[in-house]
Amino acid sequence: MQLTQRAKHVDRHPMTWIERLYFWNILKGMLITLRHLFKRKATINFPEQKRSFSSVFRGLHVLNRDEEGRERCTACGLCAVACPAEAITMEAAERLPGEEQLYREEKYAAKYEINMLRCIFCGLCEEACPKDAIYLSQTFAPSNYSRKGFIYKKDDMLIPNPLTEPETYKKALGERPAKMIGNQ
Amino acid sequence: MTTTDNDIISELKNKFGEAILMAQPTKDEFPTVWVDAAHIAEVLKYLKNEISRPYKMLYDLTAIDEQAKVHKVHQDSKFTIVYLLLSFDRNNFIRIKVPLSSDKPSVTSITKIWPAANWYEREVYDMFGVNFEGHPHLRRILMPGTWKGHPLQKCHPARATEMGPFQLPEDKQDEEQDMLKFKPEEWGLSKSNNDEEFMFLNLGPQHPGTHGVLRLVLQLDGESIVNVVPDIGFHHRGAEKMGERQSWHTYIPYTDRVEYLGGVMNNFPYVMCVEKLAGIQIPDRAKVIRIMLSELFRISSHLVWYGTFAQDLGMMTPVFLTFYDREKLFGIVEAITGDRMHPNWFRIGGVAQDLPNGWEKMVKDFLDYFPKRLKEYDKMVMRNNIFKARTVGIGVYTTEEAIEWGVTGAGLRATGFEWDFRKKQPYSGYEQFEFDIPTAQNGDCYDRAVVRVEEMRQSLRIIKQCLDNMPEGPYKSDHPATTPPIKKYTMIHIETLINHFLNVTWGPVIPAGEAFVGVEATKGHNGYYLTSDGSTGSYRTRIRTPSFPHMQFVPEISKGYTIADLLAILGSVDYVLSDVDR
Ligand code: SF4
Ligand code: SF4
Repeated sequence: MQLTQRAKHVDRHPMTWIERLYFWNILKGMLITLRHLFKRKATINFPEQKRSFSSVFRGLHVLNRDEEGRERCTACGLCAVACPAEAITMEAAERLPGEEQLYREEKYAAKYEINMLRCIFCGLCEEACPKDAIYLSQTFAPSNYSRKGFIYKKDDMLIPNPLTEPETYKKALGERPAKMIGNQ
Repeated sequence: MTTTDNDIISELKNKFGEAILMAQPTKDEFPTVWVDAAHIAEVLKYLKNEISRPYKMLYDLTAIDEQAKVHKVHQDSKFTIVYLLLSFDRNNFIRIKVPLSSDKPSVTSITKIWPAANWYEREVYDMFGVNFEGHPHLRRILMPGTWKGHPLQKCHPARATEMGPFQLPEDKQDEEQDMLKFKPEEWGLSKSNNDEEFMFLNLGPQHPGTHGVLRLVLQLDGESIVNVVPDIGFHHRGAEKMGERQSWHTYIPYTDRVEYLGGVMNNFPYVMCVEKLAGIQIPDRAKVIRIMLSELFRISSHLVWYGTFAQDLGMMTPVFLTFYDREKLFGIVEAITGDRMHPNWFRIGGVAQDLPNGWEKMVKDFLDYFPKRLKEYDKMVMRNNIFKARTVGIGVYTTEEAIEWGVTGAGLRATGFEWDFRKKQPYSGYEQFEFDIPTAQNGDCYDRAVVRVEEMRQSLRIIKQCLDNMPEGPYKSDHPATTPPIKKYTMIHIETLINHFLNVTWGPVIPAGEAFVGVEATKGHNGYYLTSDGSTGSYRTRIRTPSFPHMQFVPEISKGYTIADLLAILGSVDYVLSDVDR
């Protein structure tokens, strides 16, 4: 390829007399505005309508389950240390006999909180997780009345159980599987 | 070090003898010399005015608190002042370091040599407590005047939680307010001339025309501007201090926010600098992806400037149209990175993810769509009589003045000087792309605007070439310091899992050393100067942003114009307050 190492002088040629007419300029501006009246609208009526998000959009977090409906998180804490905003706190607990249906690993997160006011939705927690247990979904933070309301508990983020509620599970999962495969 | 570097170092040694303490090899291979504090002014004067192929631009001036450092280069230095000069004739930098070993560090001010040193020295005083003898107004610039301590000293806490809860009782509020009161005498401004009293007017901190929290105190004679005193620091968030607290990896999201219109353009110099320190080679695909994303963001940032600039001059429509186009760009950015303004998407050793399926179509659609719009904007804005009347011949400066004051980017090219770091010091493979450097002739507001408009077209050319020639291959390097390592390799067995754990928790350990890497960002030349002390985080993170010197230059080019012209000048300079204050 031939490289151009040259500078390009920008166009500064003087205006024609038509261009210099004051009212013509006003009229021209008006015409452009008028034309746009008949074009497709660029905006949507939020919140009645919602725009679609890309499959990798980094919105609110979801705590994932495996195919058998068991929580994937093993409370290793990697997400919490990777978080630049220090938004994640958790408490680990040991799985008891009989709870194998609930938790995938022998250790699980008894408490898992994310402070959405601190979170910057950077996605580093998702990148850090060795269990595919947390991901950022295609929703974004709703409003709330109190600061406390922004501290999301485990129940607020846990994905519905695919065995008992397959429909809502699917919806919550969104287009995520495609992204996760892309991520591997 | 190359031979030319040795030349300049031996030349300095011959000339100044004992005053040149030592030369230091650095990872960026800039010639780096330590100079005795007593002779710094002479040495800098020599480099600027007397040497052949001189170093005309004071590119950066900063300091390092060496007191907590393990791998010291100069054993006695407590504070090191770092001058970075740029020579256009040599197309190279030189770094001069001055060790200060006293507890009350002090050094000669170089404002007499470079007027642009004024703000830089104030910043060093503010952040490190270093005194500059002979400085005209040595006072805080970023922190509030009532602040106790100097934030970038190692003994200063890095977190609000270490400083106790914030309180604002009435007397403190009064004190703060009193501090903000503008006293013309303090700035050496007279209150009146022979026959008239001047008016002092606050423009900002909350004013739509200042594009952010910026306060300009105007000294007015009727409507014409006698002088301007910018008061900055309202947007200061301590980005440099945070760099010392975060790990190498978890600092990347913070860089996004330094110049928030540039998105990945901020990740770019930072990750390249870390890669230089660690010696990581980047796969070709990652390089081209980085370039493509950066150019998309260049267009996006220029669109914001275009619309708001036109709006500053009284046109309401363009801003809606340019923001609509920007929204289209954000569609692409969101599909690729997952976020819009803060993509946090470059990683040490590559990028976060591969490009998604179907990216080609999105990019191609934009390439087809956008040139038409640019043409429409040309008709609507650039060739509009009123727009021209308000910008042609306003805020003029020459190439020499621009260099004197540290101006880079479109503001420099508008004076007719063909200088683009993508061409002159290519990085990340820019040398393989075909594009032109738009230049104008007069260095006025209008010329800065045409240069930016043309730059958008050139960016489209670059993106087109990325689209046509995107290399196959990995998007991340397999170097051990790549963070996070490619997941495919991490969860195979316990060894790789341990590796993943170490890499994600502490992150990579970067060998001790220092480097500076800059890129031709949207607003000018943006660079990161990182010092590693051989640990998991940066010892000193210096962010050299273009908007800082540009803002310092505003008073010089506004004198004698009216307030309405000042708004045209501010718009044409194209700064972001987060980029000024960091
Ligand atoms: S979400 Fe993932 S990274 Fe976080 S504690 Fe659970 S398993 Fe570990
Ligand atoms: S998205 Fe980023 S800031 Fe938010 S919880 Fe995850 S790591 Fe922390």
